[in-house]
Amino acid sequence: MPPAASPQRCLSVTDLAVGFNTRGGAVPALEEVSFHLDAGETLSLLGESGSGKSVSAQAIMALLPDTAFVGGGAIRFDGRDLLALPRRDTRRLCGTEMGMVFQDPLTALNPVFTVGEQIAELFRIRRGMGRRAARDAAAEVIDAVGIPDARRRLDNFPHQFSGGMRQRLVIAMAIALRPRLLIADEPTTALDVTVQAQIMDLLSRLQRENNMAMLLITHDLGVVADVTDRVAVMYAGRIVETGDVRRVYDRPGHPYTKGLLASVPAAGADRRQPLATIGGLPPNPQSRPQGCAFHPRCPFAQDICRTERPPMVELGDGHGASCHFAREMVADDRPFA
Amino acid sequence: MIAPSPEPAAPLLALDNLEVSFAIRSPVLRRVLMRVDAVAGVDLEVAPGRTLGVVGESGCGKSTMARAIVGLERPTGGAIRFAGEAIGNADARRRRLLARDIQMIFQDPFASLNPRKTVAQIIGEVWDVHPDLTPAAGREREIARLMERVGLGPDMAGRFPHQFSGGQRQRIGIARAIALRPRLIVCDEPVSALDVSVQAQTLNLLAELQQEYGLAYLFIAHDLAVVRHISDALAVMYLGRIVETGPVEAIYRRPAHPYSIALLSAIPVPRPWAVQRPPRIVLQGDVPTPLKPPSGCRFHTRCFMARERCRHEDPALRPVAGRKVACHFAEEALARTAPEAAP
Repeated sequence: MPPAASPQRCLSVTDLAVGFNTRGGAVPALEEVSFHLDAGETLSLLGESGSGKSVSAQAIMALLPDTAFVGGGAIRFDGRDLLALPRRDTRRLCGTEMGMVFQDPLTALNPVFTVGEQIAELFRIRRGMGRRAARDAAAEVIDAVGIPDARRRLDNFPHQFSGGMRQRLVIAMAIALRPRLLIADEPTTALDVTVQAQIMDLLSRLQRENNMAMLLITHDLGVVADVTDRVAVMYAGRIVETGDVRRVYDRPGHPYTKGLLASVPAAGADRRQPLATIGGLPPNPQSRPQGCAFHPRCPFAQDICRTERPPMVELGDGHGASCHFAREMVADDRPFA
Repeated sequence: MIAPSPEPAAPLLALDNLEVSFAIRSPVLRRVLMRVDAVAGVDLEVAPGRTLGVVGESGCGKSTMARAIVGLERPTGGAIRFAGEAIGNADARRRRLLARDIQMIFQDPFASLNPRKTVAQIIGEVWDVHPDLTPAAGREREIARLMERVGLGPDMAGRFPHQFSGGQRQRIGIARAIALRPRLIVCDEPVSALDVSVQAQTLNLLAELQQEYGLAYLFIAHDLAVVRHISDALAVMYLGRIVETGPVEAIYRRPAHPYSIALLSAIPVPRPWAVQRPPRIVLQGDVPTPLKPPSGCRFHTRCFMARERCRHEDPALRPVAGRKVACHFAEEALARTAPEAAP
């Protein structure tokens, strides 16, 4: 599908730095994180625990915990600099122009209100609708996310829904006011495979219908390939590779991406062969290695990797990898081992 | 289809129409209101030194089955046989001895280790119960050997569980499980809480240990790619029943139960454009509650092939194309699944 002529830039994050204040001093969580998202486009932030993908989302939505601080950079949403806005104004954008779907649907819903009350509240407060109109609007969005018998179920409480249905409710709340950006933080991690397929289908459909931009945060390489146009791979608080999903997965320019792809058991592979693994553990944020943060685990590491932080190497068509040897990685089909 | 290589003579573990049900009681009089059949008649076999993978969605009974095998739940029907001997109703003394042969690795490496004990104590305490296996004098050396074997530095023996990462904790759990030199390890979602790169390390470790010690695994997981990698045989469960079981590659290449077909088609793969796969089938609705399982075939409410007969008649597990399938229309389902292209 050819993209629409000059797509509209929805979100751009430039050189974002976020840290946490701890008893042991400031600990960096994000460093020089940059990415952008156009209307109708999906970008995945892919990474393992502690890589900074959720902190990135929290920074955009002004949901960072009190111990966090923004050390620099800019977040522009529809031309507005979110970091320059008062926190209250950014939070006001949440729910109206930005929607968020969390991993655990049960904690994202209030157990003591019916789902009808919770969703209608959005329309009453943000749109100033009357009770009856708000209730009608709530029934409409619940119907739109594929919950059968929507009007009757407005009077149910969250615990009366199954896990998959609850996630649909959370999605209904996130898209109720037709946001231009949807941030989905591990939306299917708590769900079963067959339900996961339903939810990903739903998100893609809603995105198409509303020309929404979607930022998908996940650790699942398969989910990324399923729904996204572009991917940004995060490691130790930085984006280490970004580009078209297909390009990145077929010809990774960063050894970490290469290693991740090799760690997933492939269909038809010889079972007697051990899986490729990335040795060691992700670094502790308090003492990230000098030079390239990945070098202690990288089988291709050279002297330069230990001393110099690699720049983002441009590999063409928006594909970039921050590795001193990114061009060699792309050209060379050496396995990760 | 060519018959698979002859099965080793006797299975190490055999489940024979196993049933585990829980009573739901009224809050005051404790009268039994109803029973939930978490495991509703399961037949399975695990061969010595081999791996049986079990997949299924939440509520399908796979964890309850695992707990019954290691003695954490009591079967309400059927039999569990280990090396030919019925162990379903073993008493506490017998169970303690069985623990030498059957061990378990749990999903949550954070919850399954005592936070107040050091790694050395966690691994070593199994020999308090079975002192004849490792004499007190040799314990320290044996702990160091086990830790080294699972990839933990023996210098960490004095540390507490919270000082380790998730992957390292799972290694502690594995060291504890092999400390008694068991013949079977029941692994309940051992890698689902781990990151991809750590997951691969753990799977490799489990495969090595299997080779070294001739271990058999009952490997429960919801990640179908992981199960395919590690298993020899596969069992697909749905609402307390086995719907398909047989050699792992046969089922992955050509599933014959509509549920297996849908489940396998729904796994997101990292590079979908590089593999040839059948179109995705998105099942409608959720898994029904085991409190009120559907009549007839338990899958019929979500099945894309369901007919009238499925509503009334419960299909039995029967041999179809080199595996066993519980579906009235297994041949038809099989015909839908084209052979997977060779990689």
